[in-house]
This record gives sequence, C-alpha cells and structure tokens, in this order.
Amino acid sequence: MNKKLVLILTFTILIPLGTTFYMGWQSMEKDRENSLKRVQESLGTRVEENNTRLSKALEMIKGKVQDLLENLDPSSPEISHPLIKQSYLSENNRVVYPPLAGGTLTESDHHRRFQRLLDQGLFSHPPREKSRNINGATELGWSSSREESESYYYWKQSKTQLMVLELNRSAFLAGLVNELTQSGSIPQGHLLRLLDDRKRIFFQLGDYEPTPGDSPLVFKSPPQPLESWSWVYYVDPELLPVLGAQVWWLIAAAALSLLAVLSFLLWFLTKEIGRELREAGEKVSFVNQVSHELKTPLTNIRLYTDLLKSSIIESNPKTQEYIQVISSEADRLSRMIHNVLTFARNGKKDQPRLRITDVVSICAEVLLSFSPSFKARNLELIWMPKRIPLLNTDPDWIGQILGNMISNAEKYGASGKKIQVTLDLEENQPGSEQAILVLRVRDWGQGIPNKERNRIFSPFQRLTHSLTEGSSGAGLGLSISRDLARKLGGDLILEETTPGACFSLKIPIRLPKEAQS
Amino acid sequence: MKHLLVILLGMFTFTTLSAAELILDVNLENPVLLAGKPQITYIKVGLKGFEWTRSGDRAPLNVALVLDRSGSMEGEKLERAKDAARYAVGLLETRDILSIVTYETEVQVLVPATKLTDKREILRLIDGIHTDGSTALFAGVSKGAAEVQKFLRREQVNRVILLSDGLANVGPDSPGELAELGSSLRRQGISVTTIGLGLDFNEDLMTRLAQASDGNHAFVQEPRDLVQIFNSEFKDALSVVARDVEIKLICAPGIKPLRILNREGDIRGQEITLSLNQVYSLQEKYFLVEVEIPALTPAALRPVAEVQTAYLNLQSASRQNLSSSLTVRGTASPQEQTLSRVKDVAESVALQKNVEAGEQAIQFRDAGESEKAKKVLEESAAGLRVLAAELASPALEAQSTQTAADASKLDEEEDWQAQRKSMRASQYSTENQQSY
Repeated sequence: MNKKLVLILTFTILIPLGTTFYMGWQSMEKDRENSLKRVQESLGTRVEENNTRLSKALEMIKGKVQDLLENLDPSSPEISHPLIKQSYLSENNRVVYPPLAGGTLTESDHHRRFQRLLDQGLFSHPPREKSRNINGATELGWSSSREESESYYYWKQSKTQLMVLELNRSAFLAGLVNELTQSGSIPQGHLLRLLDDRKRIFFQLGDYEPTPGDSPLVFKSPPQPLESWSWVYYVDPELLPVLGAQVWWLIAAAALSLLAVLSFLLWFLTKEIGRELREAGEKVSFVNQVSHELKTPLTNIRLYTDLLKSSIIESNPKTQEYIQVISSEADRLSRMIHNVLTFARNGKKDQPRLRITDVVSICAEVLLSFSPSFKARNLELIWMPKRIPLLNTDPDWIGQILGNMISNAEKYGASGKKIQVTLDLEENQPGSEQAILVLRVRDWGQGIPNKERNRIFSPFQRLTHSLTEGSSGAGLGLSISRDLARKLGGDLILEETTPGACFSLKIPIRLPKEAQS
Repeated sequence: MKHLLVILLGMFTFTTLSAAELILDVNLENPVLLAGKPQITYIKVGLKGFEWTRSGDRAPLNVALVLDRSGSMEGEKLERAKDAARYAVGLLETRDILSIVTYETEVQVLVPATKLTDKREILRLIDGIHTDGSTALFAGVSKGAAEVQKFLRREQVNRVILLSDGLANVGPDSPGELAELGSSLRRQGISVTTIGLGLDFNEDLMTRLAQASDGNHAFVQEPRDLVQIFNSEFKDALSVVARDVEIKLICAPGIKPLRILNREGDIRGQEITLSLNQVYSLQEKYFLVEVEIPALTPAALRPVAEVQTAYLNLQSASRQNLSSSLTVRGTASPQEQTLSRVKDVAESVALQKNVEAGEQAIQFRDAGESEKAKKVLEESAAGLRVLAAELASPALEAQSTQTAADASKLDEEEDWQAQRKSMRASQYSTENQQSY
C-alpha cells in the first residue's frame, strides 16, 4: 500500500519538477544566447567605432604621405620630414636612390635593403587596395614588410619608375595612437585591445585583466597597411549573461524541491506508521479494559448456564440444545477474553505455573467444549490421543493453546468437514529421559497460501481471504499461542500438509522416572 | 693659428652688430702634430649660448607635462609628481603654453595646450590626479607631443617633459622604437626630457628617447628630489637662446673623418652634418670628431676642416650663420706636439672616452661578465688619473674617482639597478653637456 503511495507521490512530483527544470534550463540557455548576441553586437559597434577612428588616422597619414610623394623630385629624392624615415627610387627594378657608394653608411644600408625588398617583390604585386590616377598610368599603394619590426611604405609606381617613402614607424604609430586616444571610455570590466603584428598590445581601453582562459569576443582586422593587426574585445565573464549563476539557482531550487518532497514523504510515512501503531495500541488497551469488564458477567453466565443444565433434567430436546449453544458460545467468548488478556499482559513477566498435569484429560476437556459448535458446523472430530504420562507443565496454557488451534481450524478449515487432533510423545532415543510432546491439529480446508505462512503468527493478522469473511476474532490466537508455546520451551509451527493446514505444538519434556518404570 | 684669427674676427663682428650671437669654438686636440706619418686626432666643435641682454627676457615655452599615473606611482611618488607639476605651473607666465597629459593604460589630456591665464583651474585639475592601471608610455609621449604640436612655433621652446617610474607595457616599448619617435619629434623642433623615478623604469629607453630628441634626462631615486629636478629642467628650458642649430663640418681633402664621439650625426664623404634642437644661455654644447691626418711635413700648415653653422636666434628671432676653419702644423719634435695640446679638448676627449668605457662596462655587466666590466672601468679610471695629473685637471681627477667608485660597486647585486641608472644618467649628461 505504502510503496505504491510512495511511487505515485514520487512520480507525480518528480516528473513535473524535472520537466520544469528542463524547460527552465532551455529557456535560460536561449535567453543567454540572445543576450550574448546583443552584447556581441554592441561590442562589435564599439570595435567598429574605434576601427573607424583608426581608418580615419590612416587616411590622414596617407594624405600627407601622398602629398610628399607627389612633390618628390625624382632627380633629387632626398627628403627630410618627421613622418618619413627614408625615401627610395628605383628604375626597372634597380635601386637609383639612395646611392650604394659616396653617401653615408646608413644610406648604403638603405640601398641594400631596398634592393632586397624589390627582389622580394614587395612593390611589384600591388596590394589589394590601390588607387589609380586619372590617366591610369600610375598606381599608389601601401606595403608593409616584416623584418625585426613591421615597416610601412607608401609608394607610387609609374611605367618604369618606383618611388617609395618608408614611414618613420614610431611617428606613424604616434599618429595612430593620438587619434585612438580620443575614444571615449568603455564600461567597467570591459577591455578593448589593438594587437600589433607580433600580438603585442599597441593600444588598450579599459582595465579588465583577462585570465588565460578568456577568449576575445570580437576579432577583427584593421585596414591596410595594418592587416596583420587585430582588434580584440574581452568582457569579464562575471558581467556576461552566463548560464553559470542562473543555473546554480535553478539547480539549488531543484535540489530544495527534491529535498522538500523527500521530507514530506518521510513525514507522511512516519505519520502513517505511527498512526497504525497508535491505533493498534489503543485497540489493545480498549479491548483489554472491555475484556476485564466482560469477565465478571461472563463468569456469571457460565455459572448459571451450568446450573440451568443440571436443574433442567427433563425438558424437551430443543431446550437442551439451546442451553448447549449458550454454554459453548460462552466458552468461546471466555477464550477470546482470555486471549486478549494474555496478549495485553504480554511483555510483562508472565511465567507458566507448572503443575503435574494429565495432558490427555486437559485436551479431552477442551475438545468436549467444542463439540456443540462442531456439531453445529457439521464437523467431524477425530481425537487420537496416545498414552501420555503425567507431565510437569502449565495445564491452563496447554488448554489455551489447543483451544486456539481448534478454534483456528474450525474457523478456517471448516470446509474440509473434519478435524483431526493427535497427541503424541516423540522420544529422541528409547530409554532417554528427554522427549517431545506433540499435539497436532489438522484440517482439510483451504490451507494457507505460501506467502502468508510467515505472517499468520503476527498479532492482528487475519488472512484477507474470502473464506474468513464472516469469521470473528481479533487475530490474536496464533500469535498468543506461539508465545505461550515458546515460554513453555517449545514452539507452535505450521507443518507442510496438503490439503488443509496442520499446526503442531511441540514441547520438550522430561519424563518422570516413575512413569518410565 | 688661422682659426683663432677667424674666431677673433667673429667676435669683432659680434661687437659691431651689437646683437647677441652664439660663440662657435673649433679646436684640434693637437694643433701641432708629429710629421712623417699619419696621425689620429680629435676636432672639437663647441657652441656656447649668449646671455640675454635684458634680464627676465626669454623665449616663450610650449611645454607638455606627461605624467605617469600607473598603479606603481601610488603614494609619495604621485604626490611629489603633483608637487612638481604645481611648481611648474607657478614658474610659467601667461605667454607660455602648458598642457598636462596623464597616462596609465589609457591616455588622458588633463589640461589641453593652453596659455597660462587661469592657473587656479589647472592647479585644481592637478589635485585630482590619481593612480590607476598600466603604463602606456608611448601613447603618453605621443599625446604630449600632439599637444605641443597644436601651438608649434619655431621661436618658442617646444618641449615634452616625461615623468615615469615604470616599464612601458602597453604600446611600443623598445628603446629603438622610442628613439625613432624622439628623432621624429626632434625634426619638428620638439625635445623630450625624460625623468626616471625610482628603480623600476627602463633607463635605456629613457636616455635614448631623450638623446634622439635632444632633451635632458634625469634619474631621480627619491621622490622628494622631484621638485628640485623640475626646477633645473625649467631653468634650462627657460634659458634657451638658440634653436634649430645645424652644424656642417667639411673636412679638407686628404683629411679622413672616422667617427663622431658623443652625438649622432651623418658622415657623408668629407662632410659631417649634425643638428641640435637648442643651445642654452651660457652653456656650451659640443661634439667631437675623430679624424685621420695624413703624414705632415715639418713646419708646414695644412687645412683640416671648415665648420658652418646656422641657427635661429631667439633674441633677434632671425636665422644666423657662423663659420670657422681649422689648420694643423707639422713638427719634428714630439715635445712640441705634447706642449701644443689643447687642455679643454683633451679633457673632453678623455671624458667621452670614459663614457664609452662606461657603456661597454654596462654591456659586460648585463651579459653577466662582471669581471670584464670592472676591468674596463678600472683601466679607464687609471687612464683618467694619469691624464688629470698631466693636464692638472680637477675635472678629470673627479671623474677618475667616480669611475673607480663605479668599478668597485659593480658586484653589489642589490644596488646594481640604482647604479646602472645613475651611470646611464651621468653618461648621458656628459655626452650631451647637460647642465644638471
């Protein structure tokens, strides 16, 4: 019953909970992706803004350098300008200026270097961006070479002549950085960097320190001639709409709900069991009190029934029969009350009162008291006692146990039409003092299903069996009987029999010496 | 002694024109040389600034203070730097132009280039400077120069004063790149004075930036000395009398120029060109050229070189020229050669060679070869001591003592950073005849 309840509760609560959690996760993930996209877009705009600034600075520098280039006299191409490191002139791929000999040492160095760049074809393959003048005869363009540090050139190519201005790298970079530093600041925890060709930080906005695990959000190349540079944008992950924080909340919420469900289940079960135990206790204590109250009137009923039996000697058979029924029912009631009181006393130190007992006559007495009800139920009683010596045992308990066994057989085995009671003495070895008293009650009724075998000895257990309907009793009989049998040093067991059921009371006994002889 | 006549003639011209002029002084270390074999000697070309005729007269200043406010400046360094900036504001007049740029990871123009009409507002802005972030030194200098460029005029002193205590870590950071920036600024007539504070800055970067732009350099170990250094720097900047100085030295046929000792210039065939951004009042700026003179005939004069200079006189606001020439005479007597030695030139040559020895020692020490470094310095100190006695020169004696002291301290690991910086600063000062 309770297992089912637990299962149902678990499923009805956990499944919706799990579904909610999953859906929550999904929608959070979606939210995160959306807001991440929004952040990326806004960062992209910011990078774009700075890149535009950079392009503007490059255009300005290009304008200046172009002017210088246009005004350069090929017959004396020497130039002194803060923005220019060196001017070069070549014709048909041969360096004309600066001279190899006759000039300064640095000039001959520049000569050799320029020839090397020409041979590498740095200016012969015009870069992507090129502008043509009106007649299309000349071309202008940027180039950059990478030696120990990137160098930048602006050149003009006509049919055979190539004029190149190498920029003073630092002055060029200073021009760029001056334009870039006019940018507004960026939010706390953000970081915008312009990395140069060797991935060194050239320019930076914001003071967030990226950790080695951080990856930049936007990655973009600036225009020519800085195509080997890159813009990167970092955002402190704590500021990002990350799954992290919300997911922890979600998980925490799920864990809490799970805990709540489990605690509820635990509380519910404890309460249920507690209630059952309490109810059972109340039942016993109530029946106990009632039984005490019932004892006195019952005793009077039995007494007067006996008196009635002996005083009405000759009456019609019907009257005799009625009195017999009253007497037998009073006996049954008396047994039940006795059982209840025994059960209620159980746990207290209830010890057998041993006396020299004639077990056979005790049994016969009990069986006799059942005869009216047997007759009424049309049951045949087969009584097979062996000769048993007088034993030292508790006659009341033996009687009570047998009464319960018969009552049980009568109740549940009535369909078999007969009940056999045997009394035997099993000696371990002939001549030994030790022996076992065996009292067997067998019926030919429905029997006891296998799975119920273990439970029949528990208190208040009555088999939920169609046959038991209509039977009365508190379900105490077998339980009490076994307890009493164990207190006598023996046991009450259910033996394997088909059809029907067979209960055996086995009590080890010591045979009196005189009985042996 | 034809060259002396030329100088005398020059001085005569100066008095008749009654206008202040620079003094061009050209000398050979040995005007008389042993005949019969090729000889190596040195030419010293010196330019000395005149005194302003009216006191209080001076060229207006266009200066950008570029202040490092990176995290490492926190505390006393920044407070003293602000004191120095306040001091500078107090020193300047309304005709001067000041801008203040602060930098850390980013660069801020705290005070855009402006005439000093509202000092109170500038002082208020200085009070608000606080530390933050990394060191974008390149961007800071670029920005400072950009502010100076806004009001760039030839007849004023255009200067960026950079104060930094740390290594550049955002933007170009090699001494070469900063030197290139410096040479570009020098061509625009802007000098960068670099002040290194504490022990963590890169002195090679700072001296090369100053050298390339013809500015000053100072090493300030204790923040409390900053105001003093600012005082010297501004005194210098306020005493500039000539700008855009171009010097051309043309060696006579047969005379072979070998190298320039203490400055950077171009040697093209027989012609040496060199420029100075400015000449200060009553200070001499010079350079030395090592030349090879072919075998001379005893008693015969031989022309050595001609020197031409052109500069912008800030007092008269006009461009002026000066020239001078130099001869050498052969002799058969070694004593005559020794006696003819010009003390001033010999001292300069010895000091510059000592600088070269010091630079070499730093290289050795950087490479972990302390013993070699020590030996180089000790030898130089010994040579100086001998020469000091010969020439009776207290200046050389003092330098010898200093170099010997540098040599003995070379092993002390914990003081090396400070010593390296102070050696670099002193080398720089000697090479460029810095006043402080």
